[in-house]
Amino acid sequence: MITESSASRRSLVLLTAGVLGCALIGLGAGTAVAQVPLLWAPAGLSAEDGRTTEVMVPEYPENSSGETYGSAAIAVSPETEPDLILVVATNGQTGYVKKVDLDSAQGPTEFKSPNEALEWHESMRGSEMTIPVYAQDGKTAVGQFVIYYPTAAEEAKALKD
Amino acid sequence: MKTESAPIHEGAKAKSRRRAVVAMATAFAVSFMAGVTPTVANAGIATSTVGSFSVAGNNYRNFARIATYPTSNHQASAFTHTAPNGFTAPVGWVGSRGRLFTSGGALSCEGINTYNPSSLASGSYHVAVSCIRNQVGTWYSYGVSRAWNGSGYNSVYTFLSPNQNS
Repeated sequence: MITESSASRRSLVLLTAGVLGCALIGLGAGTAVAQVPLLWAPAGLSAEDGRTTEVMVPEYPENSSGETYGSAAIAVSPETEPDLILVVATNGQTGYVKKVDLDSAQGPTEFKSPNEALEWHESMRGSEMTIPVYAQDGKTAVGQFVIYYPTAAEEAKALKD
Repeated sequence: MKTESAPIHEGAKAKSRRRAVVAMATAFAVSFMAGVTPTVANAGIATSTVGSFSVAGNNYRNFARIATYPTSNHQASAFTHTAPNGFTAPVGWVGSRGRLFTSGGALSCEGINTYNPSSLASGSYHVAVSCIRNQVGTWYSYGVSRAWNGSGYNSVYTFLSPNQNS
């Protein structure tokens, strides 16, 4: 025969188990969400502890000209960046730079030797490159984006900070 | 009396069930937040997970670092660290580029590719920095590493750093 007190004890046990179960599930879900950057691993990269993740290539929307646009932060390699990359212009406005313009700031597509890369870098010190920032249509100019090539002293100071 | 006590008993049961559901939902929410908490933005320095990659049979390690100083003119900058792993890299073989992103995913500052000016021992990092922003905000670092493959450079991203406030 089930008395009222034993029924109450049983429901208390069930409640406690339910609460603990939910707490565990919640902790697991929260930790999984916190690990999202690891799930979206860049191409060719694995974690030091041996975890290797599958590369998830992002899909970007297209504008009326057929150009893809979006954040470079979800790309997993330079090849998977959109045609128009989301940036903050010098005037504070958000817009898009063309990937080809941004890439050109890094010098020739292919250096013939490491020395050529070093020489190019040295030759650019103290200068800057300004590229246009567009609206999502890739045509309407909304600002500028500046890539600055610091002097050796400026670079050394920035690296110390 | 019997006919009146049944609905009262049912009402108490429903109330008890509601309390149980609330208790379990609260437990889930609190624990979920506890699990996510490490990603909540703080100020100071934070680094990404260290990544490993190979180019032309040579192994490398890389990571992204974000540094913010809310009390020092709200400074924010992004660093990329790249190191040879298990060999000494000749001059110019290892490249890094810092990229500073807003928490909304917009590129705020793009550094330039820099390369090791002298040979780099295994485990020694070549570091590059993005430009510095002086404004209040939430930022993260997502760097680019470069490694010489014999006829050009391969570019490999780092993992994302956590968000940091400036």
